[in-house]
Amino acid sequence: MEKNLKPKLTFKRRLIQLYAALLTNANIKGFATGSIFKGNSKNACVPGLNCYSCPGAVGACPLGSLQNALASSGKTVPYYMFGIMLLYCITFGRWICGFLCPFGLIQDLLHKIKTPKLKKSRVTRILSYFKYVLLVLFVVIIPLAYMFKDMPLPAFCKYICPAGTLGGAISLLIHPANTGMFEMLGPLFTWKFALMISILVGCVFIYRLFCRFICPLGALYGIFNKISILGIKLEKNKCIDCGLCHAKCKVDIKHVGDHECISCGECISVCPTKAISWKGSKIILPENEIPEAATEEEKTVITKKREKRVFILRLVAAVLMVSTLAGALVYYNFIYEEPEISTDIGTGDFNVEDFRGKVVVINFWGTWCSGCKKELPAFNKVASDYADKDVVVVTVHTSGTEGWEEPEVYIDKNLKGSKMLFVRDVRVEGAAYDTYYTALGGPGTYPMTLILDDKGVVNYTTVAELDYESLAAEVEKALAKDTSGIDTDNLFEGYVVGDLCPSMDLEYIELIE
Amino acid sequence: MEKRIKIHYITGLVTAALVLLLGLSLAISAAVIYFGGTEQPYSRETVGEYLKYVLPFGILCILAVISGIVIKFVFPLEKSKLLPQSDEFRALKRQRARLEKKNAEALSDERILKESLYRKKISIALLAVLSILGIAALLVALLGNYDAALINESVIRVALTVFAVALIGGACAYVAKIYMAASARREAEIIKELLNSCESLESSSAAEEKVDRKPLYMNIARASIFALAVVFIVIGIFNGGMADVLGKAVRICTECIGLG
Ligand code: SF4
Ligand code: SF4
Ligand code: SF4
Repeated sequence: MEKNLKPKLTFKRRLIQLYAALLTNANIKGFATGSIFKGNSKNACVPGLNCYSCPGAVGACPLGSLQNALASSGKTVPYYMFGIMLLYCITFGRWICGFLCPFGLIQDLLHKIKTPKLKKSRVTRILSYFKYVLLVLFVVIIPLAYMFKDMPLPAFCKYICPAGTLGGAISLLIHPANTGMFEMLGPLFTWKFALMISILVGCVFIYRLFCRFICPLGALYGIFNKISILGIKLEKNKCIDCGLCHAKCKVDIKHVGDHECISCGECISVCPTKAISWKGSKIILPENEIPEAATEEEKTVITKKREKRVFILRLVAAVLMVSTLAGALVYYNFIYEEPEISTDIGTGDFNVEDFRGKVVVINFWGTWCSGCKKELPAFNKVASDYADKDVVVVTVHTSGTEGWEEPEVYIDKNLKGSKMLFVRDVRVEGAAYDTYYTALGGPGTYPMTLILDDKGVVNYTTVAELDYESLAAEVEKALAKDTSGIDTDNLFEGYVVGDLCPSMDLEYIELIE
Repeated sequence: MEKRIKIHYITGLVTAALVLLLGLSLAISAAVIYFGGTEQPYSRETVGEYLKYVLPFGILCILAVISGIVIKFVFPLEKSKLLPQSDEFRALKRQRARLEKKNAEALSDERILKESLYRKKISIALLAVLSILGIAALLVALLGNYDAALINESVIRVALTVFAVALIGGACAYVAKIYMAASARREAEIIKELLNSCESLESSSAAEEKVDRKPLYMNIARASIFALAVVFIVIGIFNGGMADVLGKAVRICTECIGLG
């Protein structure tokens, strides 16, 4: 009997994991277009580690959002993220790890590969505390510390997260439309790629290596595991301390349901006294109270009744789940359309058409984007060095600041007296993204730079960070009317900018005197 | 070794080797591309070129994984036989520890003490070897000659040292593990024997000693935290926190996801 139970539970868990992974990555068409989803459902965070820069993702990653919220907490108190995290922690705890997290599923599947395995030991138990160090250091301290330097730095995302490398970076890179992104790959990508490969290979030999030793999100959920509403519980008065659950469990628990337990439920079937059960299961499905004096017939009736309830509950759950998933897949892939970009919006005084006859460098940036801020000095230098050669450098700040410094404050501090023009992007009603940026081919990643020649033709585009030399070289090319580098596969190179955004009038940023 | 177990064992080892090779070849390819010396090391073409070398490992790996699955179904095996330091052993030890509290005499045994003493010694020896290796590697890394112009060579030298140390350390640890597993199996037998001999002790159930604490305070805590979470979310919607989450999720700073 026990033997039968196990595969059944594992199978069901796998199904739920797959289901959750599909539901939170329902924007399948994103993989086909190579761009990320930009709709309003990204207002909400998904429960598991699921990178928001993955083309399929339809929600925000809780860990990435938390780091960004902390990194911008100087301006907006991150009540929203605190609330979301508390909600997930208290409702699910690490049940999310066992059932809902896509990266947990990937690790589970990798561990299925038949090789000799390294089992838990005292060493792994000690190592399991490492994730708490990472949580404090990379998710809390570093982002907060860099906030004081006005530098957004989600340190875990940037230096460690393999889910980001796999779901975000690699999924985007694979698509031909993003070929330009290869230009920006360097030491950081090499490090993160090697780390991701090491973690994935490690997961083949060590059960959930990332979850047990590295994941700060699991660490956070673990802290609330004992009091979370869902999960696994141990009834101490029934437990005879036989140690079978502990032996069965593949993670570094001390007790069932503690901060390491991922609520997978595998130990339920091995407990000889049935001391382990799902939390809250009795509310949904109270246990059968069969009176002692009941006849055989009455007992069968009671048992049948229960079986019927179980069946109905399952049926309802299955129908709800299937329809939700089907609905999400249809909505995200066939119904949802990004609000139409109207090409004649904006009430400002800046229109790129006014600069016909000059070479125009357009740089898209944001004070929340550390890469953008890093490359601005190069643009500033080009603006001064080429000021008398009919070259205009325009920087377009995103319409929102995402809780970061206002651009005018940043410019006042760092770019005072610059020859660059500073304008702000606009947004179409109902859109979550910037219109000018999108009209000029922005795939959702920042920074982005375009260079137009004197006829307004897009000569060069890149989503990579630029240094002075490469930028100056491209400007020189445009000045010399050298069109040999135009790659029509790459974003909107070769198009006339006026056709892309005929009359978008952006507002100049009011500079502080 | 039984033939069936042998088949499983060999498939497992071959798959493990292939997985390691695949991982290694991917990581090395990235390193070679990056250290290749050009200013813009990565391009779709270069990556494609290197993936050609990795592909055979990938295919072999997939084949090995598939054969592993096939073998699992064609020659089913009881799982415990494959586990050197079996789950059962851990459970037995825990059981023994519990019973030992009640009847230390009946369960103390010379042989067990001996086994665990040897294991401890081997652990200490292994720790010492690993520490020496670690210190040696650190010295090589710290005392090396660093020249900014030759930084790639220096990094490769450090990487090679780390790799060599990891290899030697891994080999030592594996040998130690084989001994430990054998010792654990011997100990499990002894414990089983001992536990059988004092099974009567088991009858005194632990149940009466423990009483579950009433979950009322827990429910109050849950409800309060839940309410707090909802309040925070509502405040967050109005103070712009939610818009910030959306803004960051639809506009990606490439450096922040490691594209840099
Ligand atoms: S990089 Fe990792 S932590 Fe950051 S957003 Fe992506 S999945 Fe989340
Ligand atoms: S520990 Fe992290 S990666 Fe693992 S399942 Fe939990 S949230 Fe996902
Ligand atoms: S204690 Fe049980 S439910 Fe928790 S992780 Fe271990 S086997 Fe899974």
